[in-house]
Amino acid sequence: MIISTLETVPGRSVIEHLGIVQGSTVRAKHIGRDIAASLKNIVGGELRGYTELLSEARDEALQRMIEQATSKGANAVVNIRFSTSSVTQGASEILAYGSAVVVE
Amino acid sequence: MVKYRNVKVPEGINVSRHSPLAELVILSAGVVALFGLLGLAALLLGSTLGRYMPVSWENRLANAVFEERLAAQEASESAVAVEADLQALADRLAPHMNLPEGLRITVHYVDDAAVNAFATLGGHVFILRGLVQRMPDENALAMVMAHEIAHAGNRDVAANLGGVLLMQLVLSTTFGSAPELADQLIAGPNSLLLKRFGREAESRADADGLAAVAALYGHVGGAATFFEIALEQAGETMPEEGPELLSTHPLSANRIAAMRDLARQRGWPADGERTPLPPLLAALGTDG
Amino acid sequence: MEILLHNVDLLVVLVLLIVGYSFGRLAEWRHFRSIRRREDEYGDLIIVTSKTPPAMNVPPETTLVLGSAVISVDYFKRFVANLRKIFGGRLGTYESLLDRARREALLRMQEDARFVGATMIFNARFETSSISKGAKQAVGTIEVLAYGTGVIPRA
Repeated sequence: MIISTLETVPGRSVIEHLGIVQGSTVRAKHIGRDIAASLKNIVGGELRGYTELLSEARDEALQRMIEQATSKGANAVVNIRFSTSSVTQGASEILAYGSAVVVE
Repeated sequence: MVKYRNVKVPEGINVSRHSPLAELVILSAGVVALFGLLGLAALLLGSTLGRYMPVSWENRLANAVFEERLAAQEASESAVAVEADLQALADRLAPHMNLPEGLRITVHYVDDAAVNAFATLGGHVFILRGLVQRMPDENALAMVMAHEIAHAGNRDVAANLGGVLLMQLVLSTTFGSAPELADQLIAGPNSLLLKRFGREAESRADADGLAAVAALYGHVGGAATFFEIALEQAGETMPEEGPELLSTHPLSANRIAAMRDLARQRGWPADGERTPLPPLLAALGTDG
Repeated sequence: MEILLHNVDLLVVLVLLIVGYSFGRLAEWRHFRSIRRREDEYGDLIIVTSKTPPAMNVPPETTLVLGSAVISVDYFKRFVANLRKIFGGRLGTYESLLDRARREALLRMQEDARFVGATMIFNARFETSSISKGAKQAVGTIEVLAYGTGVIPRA
């Protein structure tokens, strides 16, 4: 599975568009991390717990998007975008979406 | 030429497969366990803190909690006289009890048929009419009183309060309804404060009480009377009507045996001349 | 039973949980059924995130198409999610909320496109926002906006 933020896959031409695919998840860290993060907020710096949370969530969203693309019979997802929103405090929602295509 | 064909996506990729009800049950159990542990930790820490709290603080607390309520209570003249007799007995016991400095024992008489006595904050000891009525002599009454005084002297009450308060504080901050819950547990009908000192504390109070009685009378005769009554009552009315003091204490038979062993070890005479109850107290028994 | 009568709060929570669970589940089931039906209906209207529409003999007309949906999560799901936040992990009960909202938004965008006579949607994008936030108890309500460019072929 080729995944890319480009419109096309260089050197290979798109022969079929199969429509939009998306993957999303909502995740939260345990409350201890939340407390630690709010303390860390006082001095600033990277909130490792949350970085980890977001990257886990992003991986999962991508995985789900790829799963959708596979089920459509695509071999590439192009023009991928991420979108983050917070549905509720302390949780993060990640959406990954793109176009499922078949390339040569 | 690029083709465009919209293909349907199967269901359930973006939705985790799970049973929400099962999740609720598991999570609730987890939360209960978590807060249970938290509460237990707070209870242990709090009772340690409470036990080493200065006596003056305990007295001040007791003033805040009880004194006003006690002052408001109207007592008949005869009750005041009985109370004075009980106080006199306590004052004779106290010097033998190695009480922490600043702790003054105040005895209160409660006109209630239950066979019970208890100690609360600030050295306030409550003796119920039902208990006095069942006591054949002063030695037996002195043992019960010494036991309760020992609870106060060993700071069991303060430890209890500290534990309960800290647990309440921790749990109510997490749940967010501090005043009502705490109030209910301290002063409410289910007040935890007045009961349950744990087995170890009871055994220690027994030993300390016995020592005081031995020192006062020169023998430990009659000390086991209360527990004998407890044993006897266990057969009759234990399930719900039984006095709380009895039901939350270690098994009476074991305690009688433990006291006998202790007396033998220390060389206290097992029996001797019994002191009769003061006339006023003895009179209570006859009209009951 | 007695403990419930003495703790009205607890009783209220319990009732809300039951109501939330049963009605929320019913609403979700109906919504998903309707989504599936309409997805079949608009199955031929393809949505693509790429920017360039295919070359056509006659240049097509293009226009903005969009669809949005605001969906709220029921009491039960919110309760479970709040418990889950203590331990961390996947907030499963919110995932269906998002799935519903996003698919609904796509469908409304397709409906819009169909209305203007478009046959394809290019450069589609999502925008997700939660409306009711800021208060201590963040209610799980989200708005999803889907927008793109509808391509209307000219004869």
